[in-house]
Amino acid sequence: MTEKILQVRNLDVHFGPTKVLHDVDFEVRKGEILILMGPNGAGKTVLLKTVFGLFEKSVGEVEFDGKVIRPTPDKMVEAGMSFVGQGKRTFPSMTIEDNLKMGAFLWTDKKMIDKRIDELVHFFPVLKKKFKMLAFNMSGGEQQILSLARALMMNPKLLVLDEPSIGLAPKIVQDVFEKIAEVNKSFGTSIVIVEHNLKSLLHIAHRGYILVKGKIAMEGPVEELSDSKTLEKVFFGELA
Amino acid sequence: MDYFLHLAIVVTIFSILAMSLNYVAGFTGILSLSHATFYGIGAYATAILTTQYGFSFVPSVVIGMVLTAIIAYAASFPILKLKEDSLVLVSFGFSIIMFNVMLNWTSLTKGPLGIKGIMAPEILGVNFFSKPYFFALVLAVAIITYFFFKRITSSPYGIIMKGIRENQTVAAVNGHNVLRYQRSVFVVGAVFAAIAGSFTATFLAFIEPKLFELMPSMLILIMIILGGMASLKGSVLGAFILILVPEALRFLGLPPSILAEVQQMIYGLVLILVMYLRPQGLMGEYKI
Repeated sequence: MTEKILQVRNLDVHFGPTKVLHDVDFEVRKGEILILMGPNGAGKTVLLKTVFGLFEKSVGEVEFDGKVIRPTPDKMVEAGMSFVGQGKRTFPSMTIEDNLKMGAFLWTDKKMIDKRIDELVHFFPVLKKKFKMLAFNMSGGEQQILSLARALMMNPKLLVLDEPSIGLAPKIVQDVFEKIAEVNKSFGTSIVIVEHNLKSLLHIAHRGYILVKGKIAMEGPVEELSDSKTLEKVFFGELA
Repeated sequence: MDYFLHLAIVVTIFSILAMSLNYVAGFTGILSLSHATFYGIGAYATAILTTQYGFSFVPSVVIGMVLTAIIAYAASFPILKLKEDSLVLVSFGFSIIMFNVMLNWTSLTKGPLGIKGIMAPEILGVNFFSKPYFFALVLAVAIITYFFFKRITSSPYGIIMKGIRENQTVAAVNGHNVLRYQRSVFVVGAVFAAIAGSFTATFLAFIEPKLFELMPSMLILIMIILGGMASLKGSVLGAFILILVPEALRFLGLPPSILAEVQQMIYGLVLILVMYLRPQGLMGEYKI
């Protein structure tokens, strides 16, 4: 698990005159589930969106699967990275089938797309039941599963999930996280999760980073980071 | 009979316009108020080239389409850079500028006097001056337009267009170059509006800038809102209703001096009623 799928070096990001990320070094190893923690406003989402090309970096380098890339979303998807943002990230007035097709960016072969859709609805049975329904008719948890499935359409090497538990009931959160772990095991996909709901996630993650005020404050195996004193320091501001 | 053919031609031309705007606004979510501008560019291209430079109909239409594509492509940079309300306002600003170009570039457009004497189309030796022939020609183009847009909107490309309309950020996150898709849709929609403009110029034999100002853009937009967003059949239905219903006023004995104003009030009323009673329009896929 030491081979890296993503490596970020010396990343700085500015929003106008405000520097929101300071010299961030960050890596994701192949096959691991990595958790990115930190209080609100720490820069977790900014870090991932910058790596994916949704925000412009000021300084720094992004290397994906051994190649240095100037990130834009289309280039990153093509390279094998998928991103699921916060909230209900579906196309509400489109069917589940069309939502999934939206994730098949580079493929033009209809049979290949249909085969992948078959695999995914088998993996996420809830989608099979509602295949021809419009996405807005699904519950919050089902929509999160749909976003997850769509992000897997291209069989990505790295899946990035930004707070997948937002707005979901605890039982549903548990189900979503179990599915995320299953994705990691079944497809060998490396996964990065930004999450506040640490209790449900720590048992499936391998490693983690703690980001505070735009700087990496700690990194290491989840067992070390989940130590209650460390988390207290993070969330009560002592690591700032 | 001549009167009904006249109405049928107007409905068919507006159906082409409404389908092309629905392709841009209904399917892809680009709520543009500049559609009548592209309609006007096509009309002026045909009018100027056929009356002043001796071109025949088909080359004038093709040149109008190419010119419109270039102008729409250039206009797409400021218009599509923005979203939602800002996009609507910038497209409105663009249509104001273009209206003033049509009005004030008198050496080319003859300004408010308009261009007269535009000849009926002649293709491969067949003259389409008579109304049945003209109607057959414009109907054939409308049918081609329908199947062209039907084919695109049912393809994987069409699914991506709808995805962009639904959520641009998520579409971008899925690796789709949103701006490139929007730009191509905007240009193709404008080109079909230009074709409708060429037919209008040859049908009326006279054009003036007033035909291509904000009100026609609003009328086309109301047609697609009434017929239904992302519905090609709805676009045709919207054109049918909004041309024929105000036309019926002629038989109510209203003074001609207030007829145009009453027609515009009807368009406004239709818009209000649709938004309250059936926001997805008569055959629409989604609520605006």
